[in-house]
Amino acid sequence: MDPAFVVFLLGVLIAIIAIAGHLIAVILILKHVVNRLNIILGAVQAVTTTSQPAGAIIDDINADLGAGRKLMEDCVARLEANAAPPAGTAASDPARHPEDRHATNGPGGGTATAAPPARADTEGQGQHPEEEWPPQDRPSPNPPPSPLWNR
Amino acid sequence: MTLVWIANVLFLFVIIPVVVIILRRVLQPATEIKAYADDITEYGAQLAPHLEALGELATTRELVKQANTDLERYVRALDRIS
Repeated sequence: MDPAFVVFLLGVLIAIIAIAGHLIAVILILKHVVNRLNIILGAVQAVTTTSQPAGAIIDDINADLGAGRKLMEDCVARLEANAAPPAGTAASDPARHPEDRHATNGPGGGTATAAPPARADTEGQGQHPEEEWPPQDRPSPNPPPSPLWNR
Repeated sequence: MTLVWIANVLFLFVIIPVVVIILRRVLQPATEIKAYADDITEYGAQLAPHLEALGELATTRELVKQANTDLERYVRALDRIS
């Protein structure tokens, strides 16, 4: 056989081995990548399943916190309205002055025996508790009041 | 015969290196993709443990409801004594 043909066949063999080796390496790498992507897909599905109800729950929490905040704001507004002195009585009852809220006649004095707020005091603000609470979309818990609060 | 030797030299020193260069250009991105997939797997698998606290959101919601109920009672009592 002519040596030129032997060299040619040797070159072809080398080329085939190089191409096959690289293609096998690419195949193995792609197989590894597919396995990793399957693992990632499972993790992403688990995360999606876990975080799916979070939006509704956070909405409920926000609604409850907003209702509580409004309740407190209304209560503070009513207390401030009640603490304001009626016309002409500020001098005779300095403890009821809004700037002197801490002055009392004793333990609990000035608050437990005070008259309930007039209806007109809160109607103008539209913030009466019986009108604002409980919200319409939730059942009214309305627990029995504590005996301490019925003084 | 001389032409055959010239063809052999071209084949061995030009064509085969060009083929190897092209194949390596295919292999290099595949290797990088493999490394990125490994990184994504390593850090992506840590997402699920970090989200375990989401299961406590239901408890948080119930606690907020209870706090709201107690707050309502407090406000009613405050209205009665003021």
